Amino acid sequence: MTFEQFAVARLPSLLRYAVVLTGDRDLAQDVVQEVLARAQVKWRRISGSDSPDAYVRRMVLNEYLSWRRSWAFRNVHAAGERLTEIEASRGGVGDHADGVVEADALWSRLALLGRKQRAVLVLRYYEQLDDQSIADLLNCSPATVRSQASKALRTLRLEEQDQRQRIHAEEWS
Amino acid sequence: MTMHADRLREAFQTHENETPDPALVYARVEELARKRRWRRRSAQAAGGAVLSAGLIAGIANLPAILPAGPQTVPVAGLPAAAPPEASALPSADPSAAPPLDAEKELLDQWDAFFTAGYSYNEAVELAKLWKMSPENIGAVKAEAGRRLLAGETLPVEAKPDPDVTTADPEATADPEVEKRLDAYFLAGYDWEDAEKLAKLWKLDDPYEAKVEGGKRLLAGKKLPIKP
Repeated sequence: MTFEQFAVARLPSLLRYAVVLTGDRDLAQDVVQEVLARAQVKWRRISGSDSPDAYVRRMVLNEYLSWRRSWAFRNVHAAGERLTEIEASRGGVGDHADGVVEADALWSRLALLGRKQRAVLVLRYYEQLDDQSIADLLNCSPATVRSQASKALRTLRLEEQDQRQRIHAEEWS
Repeated sequence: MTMHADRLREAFQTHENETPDPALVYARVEELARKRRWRRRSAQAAGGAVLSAGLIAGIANLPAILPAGPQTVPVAGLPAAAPPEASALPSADPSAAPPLDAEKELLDQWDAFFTAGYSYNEAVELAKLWKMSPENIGAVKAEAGRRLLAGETLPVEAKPDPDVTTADPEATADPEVEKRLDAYFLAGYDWEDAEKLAKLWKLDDPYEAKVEGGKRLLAGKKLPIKP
């Protein structure tokens, strides 16, 4: 497979992955552009690997984790905090009946996470990888992955929401 | 599956399609690759092989090839935003692949633009002057190239890229060194390999490793690492 064929076939998927990872359209563009420009230079090596797609996705992950242009994150954070405040003043996620609104609110709160915590959630729930695979990608132990995921869920207040919903369901059963 | 897992998946899936325009991203990748190749003048003799006409065709065809899907951001074809005077550009109709001669024409126009010493920065200036979208910089360069090929003078001067002119160790004028560097890159080796080779050969600078590597390759020898 040539680089051109790869890019035509996989670019939309790479961009979706980068958008979910970064939570920011412009940053996703920068990250993917940088990665593909580098991948093109070393394409012979990449195309000879077991899975060029996995190789390039890993490059995208590493680029996101090491990205130095922190202004983008500050902006996203600020936006996320503002949206969270608005949402809190409305009475919290539990009051939203509409699933799309809830997904939007959660998407905004994801901007509050650190890069590694967000990456763990994306790898676990979007890429559907197990903790061992995530640990391999992030070069850490599975215990660290679980710890990062747990912290992220606490920040997002998802576990307590699960608990509230369970109690609510039990009361009505 | 837990409730929070479902919620997170829904949040990701609800927003995953808010991607930038793939055609624009691809054009920018090409732009970056060109700029790096410009910096690496030693490899420029073989530059055409790196960025082949097929790649140009890929860019031109991207809007037609990429799935429209549920994308919330419209996929803008490269030539679509060109002004009326850019009529020489390939068809903006994304449903039809541009003919080969149009691809060649686009490639020729870009080559004319870069050969004249222009780069991305000047293209941005031209976009302002010609009231073209700076997001469609490929079309700006094509229009500039078309005018250059027609013997016209562009309203902005080509400025040397500061990244290139500031003591770029690879911007050498020595044909022998260039030949060695060509051999090094054409064999598929890159900067990271040069760093490894520099360590192995106890050289201070990866650049020296590239020159030495090229010399050995030209002599028919194998390097201690694979590209």
